Amino acid sequence: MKQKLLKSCLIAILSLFVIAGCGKKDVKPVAINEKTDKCENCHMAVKDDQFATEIILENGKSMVFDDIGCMYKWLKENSDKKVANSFVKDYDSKEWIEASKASYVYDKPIKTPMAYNVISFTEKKDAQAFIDQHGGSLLTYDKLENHSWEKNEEMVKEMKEKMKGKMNMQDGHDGMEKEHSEDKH
Amino acid sequence: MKVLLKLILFVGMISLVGGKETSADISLQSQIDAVPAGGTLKLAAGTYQEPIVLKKPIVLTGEKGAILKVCNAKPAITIKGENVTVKGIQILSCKQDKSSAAVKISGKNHQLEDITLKIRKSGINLENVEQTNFRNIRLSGYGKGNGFELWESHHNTFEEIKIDHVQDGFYMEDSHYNTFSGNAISDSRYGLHVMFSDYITAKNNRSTRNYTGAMVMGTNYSVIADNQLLENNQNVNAQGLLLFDVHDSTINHNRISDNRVGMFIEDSSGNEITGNEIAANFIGTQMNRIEKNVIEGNAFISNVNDFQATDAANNTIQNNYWDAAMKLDTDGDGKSNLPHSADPFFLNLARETPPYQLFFQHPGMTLLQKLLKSPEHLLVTDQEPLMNNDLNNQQQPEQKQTIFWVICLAMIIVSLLLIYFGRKRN
Repeated sequence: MKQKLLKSCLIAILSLFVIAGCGKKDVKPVAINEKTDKCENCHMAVKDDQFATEIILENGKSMVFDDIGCMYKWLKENSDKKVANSFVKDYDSKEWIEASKASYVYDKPIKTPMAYNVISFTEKKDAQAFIDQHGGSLLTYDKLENHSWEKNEEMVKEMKEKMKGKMNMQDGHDGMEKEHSEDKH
Repeated sequence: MKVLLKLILFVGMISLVGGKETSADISLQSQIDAVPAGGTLKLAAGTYQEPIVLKKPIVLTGEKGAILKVCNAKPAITIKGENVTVKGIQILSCKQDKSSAAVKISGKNHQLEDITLKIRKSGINLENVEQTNFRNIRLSGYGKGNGFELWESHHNTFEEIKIDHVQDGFYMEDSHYNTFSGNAISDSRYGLHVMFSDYITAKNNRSTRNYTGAMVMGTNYSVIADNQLLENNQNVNAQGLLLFDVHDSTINHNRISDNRVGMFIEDSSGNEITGNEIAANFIGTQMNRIEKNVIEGNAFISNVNDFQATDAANNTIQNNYWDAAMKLDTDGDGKSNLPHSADPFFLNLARETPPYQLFFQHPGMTLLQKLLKSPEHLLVTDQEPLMNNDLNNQQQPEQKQTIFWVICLAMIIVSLLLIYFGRKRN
């Protein structure tokens, strides 16, 4: 009888340890402080809105980003860092969700803080509803890994070419800036 | 009978109050619609509560006291088409305002002048606007929404505009060839916020007490000159000028002082940063991952820490004046023979663990920095710092000198008088 009691006590204590151990690994997102938080990648102030994302490292350090594109850019440049978990926001409720469980929509006309044009939803059906209403393409978390976050650069390149074309066509006050840039080379 | 009298009195009062609010008998929009193209409509003094749309080339001028106060989902003024001029109008927002912006503009060759706005959300919103001139506008808000918002709007000029208490004074995205001169932005998040816009010219602007004086991100071939970026120090991330992803641009003759960080530069290349005065900031300049920039002839004065830098390759950093640098000129050419370097040690340490910033200039930290000396190629160095601050000599006003001597003289006289009258007499 006594042994049984001891056994059950031991099991109870052990299971407590296991639960406590599990609890430690359960990483939770840290709330955004709009006054002090800035994007780890682009240094812009992070608003507590539907575009904010967050990474928690295994050492407990948390980092916030104003755009999911900034988060992926940071991940690419810091592949040596050990990430415990990453979070994004639901576009409608603005609540945190685990990035791996979210559904994503990409569309050029969607305005996001750094113009990466990707938004996130908790439910796939909400994402689909957004697409039905505004257009865009549905992305899963796995697909996001292969998403080209180069859109910005592409856009800039496109712009540069367009501008060069324009500049050749017109003189006048644009000529001044043109001279400026040429002076340096 | 008494009740009826009271009722009449009550209705009378209401009509009196209401009468003041709407001074126009017929709707403002119908008056506007009646003006032929090229014509002018003068707006008499009074408060108008009707949102208006201007889509013909007309001039709308307000008399002193002409106020637009619109409380619904539409902007107070919507401008479309070409050649619309709006002058001398005051625009007030109200709490129930649901419109995203007080003024919405598209089209080209418009002119907006002498306008005062008090806004709750966004102020003046430009979408696909070209060749439009904004002049003498006073815009004040409650910290929400941007003062001016530019989307795909090119070749516009903004002059003599005063903005305070908004999110960003001027926010622009995909908008090229815009010119900002003589504007003042204060008590906001970012004074000037450039995003993916090329050929921007910002001259003679003044940006004070914001989180960041000018936030310049994603631009090529821009000119930022003769601006004053002062006292941007109330936020933990505050800075005078931030350059991120900026290429082939000119940043010269700006006065950047009393900020948390004077100039923050990252991921930028091919820029010419010359003749700037960076004074009395906590950190003069911070540079990360920059290449092929020319940083010459700037003066770094009275900053707690003059510069911190990591990963700066192939830049031309020379002939700047650093008042914190050790200087020795053996050949008398006015340039020091001792290079002045920034060690990336502390910056790298604090980046990994931000609380280490508490140990800023701690004796132990200085010792560690000396012990774990970073290799030569990692240091960012000014090879030939200037012996004297040429910039300061040019800018020192003579008036200050006279005031100094007057004060000296006054003090001497006062002390002589004190001695004369205060001495012990026999």
